[in-house]
Amino acid sequence: MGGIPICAEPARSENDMLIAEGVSKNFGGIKALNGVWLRVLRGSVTGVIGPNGAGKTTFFNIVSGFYAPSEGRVLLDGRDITGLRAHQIARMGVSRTFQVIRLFPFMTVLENVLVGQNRNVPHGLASLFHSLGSGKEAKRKDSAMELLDFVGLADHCDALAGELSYGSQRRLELARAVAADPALLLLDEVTSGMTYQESMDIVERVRILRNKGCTVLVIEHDMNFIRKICDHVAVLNFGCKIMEGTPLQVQRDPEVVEAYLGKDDQ
Amino acid sequence: MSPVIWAYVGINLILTLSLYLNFYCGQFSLGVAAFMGLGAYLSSVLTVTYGLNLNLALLISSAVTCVVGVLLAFPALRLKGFYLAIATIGLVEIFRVMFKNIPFIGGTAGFSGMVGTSLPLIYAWVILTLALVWKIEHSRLGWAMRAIHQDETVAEMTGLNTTYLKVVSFGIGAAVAAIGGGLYAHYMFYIDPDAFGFHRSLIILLFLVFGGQTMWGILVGVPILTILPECVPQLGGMRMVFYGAILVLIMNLRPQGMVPEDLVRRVHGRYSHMRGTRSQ
Amino acid sequence: MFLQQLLNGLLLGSMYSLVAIGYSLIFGILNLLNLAHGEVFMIGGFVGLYVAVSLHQPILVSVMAAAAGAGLCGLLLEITCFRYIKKEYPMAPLLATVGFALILSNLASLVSGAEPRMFPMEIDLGYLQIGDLYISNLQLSMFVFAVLLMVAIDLIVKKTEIGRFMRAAAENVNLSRLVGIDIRQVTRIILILSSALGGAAGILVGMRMGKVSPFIGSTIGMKALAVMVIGGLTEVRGSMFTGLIIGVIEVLVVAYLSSAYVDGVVWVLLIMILLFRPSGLFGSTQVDKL
Repeated sequence: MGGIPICAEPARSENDMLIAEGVSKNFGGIKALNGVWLRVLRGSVTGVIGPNGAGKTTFFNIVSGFYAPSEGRVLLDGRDITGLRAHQIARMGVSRTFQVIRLFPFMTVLENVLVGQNRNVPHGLASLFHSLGSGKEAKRKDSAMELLDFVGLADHCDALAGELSYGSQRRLELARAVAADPALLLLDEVTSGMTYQESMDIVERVRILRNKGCTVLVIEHDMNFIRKICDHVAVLNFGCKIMEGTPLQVQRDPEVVEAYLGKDDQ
Repeated sequence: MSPVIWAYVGINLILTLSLYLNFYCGQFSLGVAAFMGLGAYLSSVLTVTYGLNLNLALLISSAVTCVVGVLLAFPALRLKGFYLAIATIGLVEIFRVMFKNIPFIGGTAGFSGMVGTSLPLIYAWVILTLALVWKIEHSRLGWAMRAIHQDETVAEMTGLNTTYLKVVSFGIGAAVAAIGGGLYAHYMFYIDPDAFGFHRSLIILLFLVFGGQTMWGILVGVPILTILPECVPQLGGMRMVFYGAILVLIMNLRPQGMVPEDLVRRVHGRYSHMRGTRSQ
Repeated sequence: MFLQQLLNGLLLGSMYSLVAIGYSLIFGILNLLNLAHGEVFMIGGFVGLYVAVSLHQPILVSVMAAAAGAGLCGLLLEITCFRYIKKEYPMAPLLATVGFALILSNLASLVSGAEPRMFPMEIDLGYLQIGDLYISNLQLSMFVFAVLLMVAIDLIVKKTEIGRFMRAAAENVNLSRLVGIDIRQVTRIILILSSALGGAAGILVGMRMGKVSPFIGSTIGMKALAVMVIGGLTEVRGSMFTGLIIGVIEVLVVAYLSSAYVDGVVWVLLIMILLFRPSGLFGSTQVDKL
């Protein structure tokens, strides 16, 4: 078995964008996550894989702040974000997409991206004193359009988000997540339901984002995607991290294979 | 047509806008009657008992009601949809019981003596309120509120402080309702607690729903529903029956309302296409 | 004395329970809120009054007439508010019932006058005395009727085939369509049934209070809605017991505190329940998933 040993306490380094320390999550009697330790290097693309129900989305939910862990800590760029509210974590530079597409269906494609711009952009009472026609807003609109171009949706900027095709909606979700100029991007099965061509296109987008300095965490079932873009992969099963390593190491690991396919004699 | 009708149109516009502000943010709060009553009583006491200028009284009562609204918004945050609606109905009824039991403001006997409104004054406030709502819609605050309405969880995860925004919408809604209540009190010369029961909230809800939950819808719907019963003389005593029938008809025939959002968007889109600019 | 107040409270409460059960039944099985239920209850009272007083029929006949009249209203309700309304707007039937309620209560007020109509004194069945406690036979029969009703509904819903159909329809509308259960038929039956029961309750309450009033539907109706929510939205038993509890509390408040605040009591309780135990006194909790 190759890769980093599972339960050794990881040394903290300045290169870690995200550190999860013994994160557990209970729902009533169900332990969805059980003592997960993970280090995510700055500027890397890390995959989180595992069978359905392994706790991957639960992990994302905790990192992005949808709920707090029952045990353990989460550190973002050295700062303890455990238990902070989701919008605070988002403003600190964490953006995510969702396993089931969630957009603002009755807002236009452009508006969805504009709302995603939350870093240092006022959305409260203060915004009543700013004009939507001002220079700053025009610049923000330009960057939003650039993002739409980046994901190939510039032509649809005035369409209602709810009316887009499935693949386009996924790309819009990506654009909205990137609009916040995140330091850490969480992609939850972003290629789910996409064709091979569309998935590879997403791989390119992620590559470009990584080259710009963004740290990316992806939950994926598509091993092609993982192989093409991930530097490092962690495998979860039944709420525990059972292995981590490079995509190749992980793919060959017998325990990982067993987790996905079950034991031979069953 | 007598100016009385137009006064009612103006007051109903303001009240419906108050409800609209809450619904805009996805908060199905029916507390408008409670805040209307609070504004009515506060401003009435200020002008009648303390001799304040009407506009000043309106501003003060609106500010106080806003604070009350903000305080009440916090527990309300935990409630969604139907539960919020019925909890706010409860709020309205609790306020009504309170109004009935404060002898200083007349209790069940009511409070009277308010004068000082005129049609231009009422419409000055209507225009102010419309400007406020328009500005909210055309600002990032409005976008944020719409986002919360459409998917609150995602809005929160996109960096919007949903708690703060919902409290803001509650507070502004309360302040606007208080203005409507104050103008109502001073136009009617007399108020009593039963004018501010849940029936009031339901009628204002009818106005909003009939219009289609858009600003244009309110501008079209409220005058129609206020003026129509007066046009047909026999309808006078049957005004409530008329409103009930309208509600049943609308829900069967055109549940999205007279001027729903997609209609506004289509017309707006066509219009700005004509102007040669890209709609936002 | 305390026991007498307790008794009075239970009797008052059974009135709330009767109306609240109507709400609960419709909501629990059809996932629909019928805010016109209070008005149907009121119509029952008026029909019964007319039959008892103007047509000089015995009480049992009046109660049946009330149930029939209210059941008819229930059918009308189903046609105007539920049958043709499209499903894309979940709030639409609810708002339509609000409109229906407005029509009913105000029409009744126009026809009969806004003031309550009195029941003549002939309808007095005497008192029962147990030690120091007095119960009017009328109140007793109303209470007994209410309890029998609630037990019967509980049994029907839990045991019989209709009950099974109804529960299946509630669980999954589309699935039950596939299996062949006609949701519209079920809706119609439930609405007529609950309206008929509401109507019967209406006449009994009218007799107990000595009068029927066009606006009693909205007053009691709103409180009964609160009772339903406090008890737990889908629990018929919740509505039953909560109604009794609220009745007792209200009577005790009037007796030992003051009558001025009594109308606010149920709403204060509602808000507290919604904040601290939103599933209701008798309901079960659910978890939100992302």
